[in-house]
Amino acid sequence: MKFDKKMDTMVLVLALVFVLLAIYMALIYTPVVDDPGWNAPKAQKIFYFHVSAAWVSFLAFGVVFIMSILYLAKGLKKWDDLAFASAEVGVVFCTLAIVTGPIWGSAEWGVYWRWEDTKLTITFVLWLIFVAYLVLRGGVESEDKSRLAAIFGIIGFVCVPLSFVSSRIWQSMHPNVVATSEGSMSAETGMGLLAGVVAFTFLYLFILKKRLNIIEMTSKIEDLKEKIGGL
Amino acid sequence: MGELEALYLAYTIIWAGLFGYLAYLHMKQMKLSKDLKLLEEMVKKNERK
Repeated sequence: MKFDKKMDTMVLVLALVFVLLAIYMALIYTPVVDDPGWNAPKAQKIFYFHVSAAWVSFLAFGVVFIMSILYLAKGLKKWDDLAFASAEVGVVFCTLAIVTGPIWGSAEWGVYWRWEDTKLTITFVLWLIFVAYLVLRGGVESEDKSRLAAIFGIIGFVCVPLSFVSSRIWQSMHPNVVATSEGSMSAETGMGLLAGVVAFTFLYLFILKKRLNIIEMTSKIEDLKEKIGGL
Repeated sequence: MGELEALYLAYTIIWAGLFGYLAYLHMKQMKLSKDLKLLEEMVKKNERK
């Protein structure tokens, strides 16, 4: 996957524009929730970037899933590199979602974490799986490392749809983002969330490209070192 | 935790985390770029010999 420099700059510019727009929308444009059911209505504004970070982590793990299947089917290194890069970026965004959620929880629920909540627990397991994926890639010295990682990435992805639907299937304190039969979010809230999701998606693309570039450079350096050793 | 405290803390963590990670990647890329140039020069020198 080779982006040219122009494409790189365009993605960065779009990411920056949407980041600024998303911050404006989240803090100024969107109203503070006016519902007596909320204990901490101002803290609800965390939601715009918490949900966006979670969405991008799901997207990133989805890319790991697809690239892992392609790698197992075709055996091309570029698919393996892309899976590795996407997993790392996904873990970063998933960490942000997992850290900001409890901060909101402490203001809204009075506790940081609820282990009985299926959505929280499944998302935490998802995070652990992909941290283990990165440890496996970094620590195991084996020719089959890429194949093992691909199998791990495919199995790990199972938690993504589970996490997405868990609050709708099982009883959960976690608010539902997607509209339910009980009601949907206001147009302003929806626009604020959309701006956050678009901003983080462009950031993901930019960071993914950077991470992929690092993997390619590391491989080149290894090749050159071998060449020098062989001369 | 108060709601405004929570809001500031969450936003600080998000943006500090993202820009910290980007800065880390940028520095790593710069270092690798230097190493790569050096190695390419070494290979060229070795090939000339």
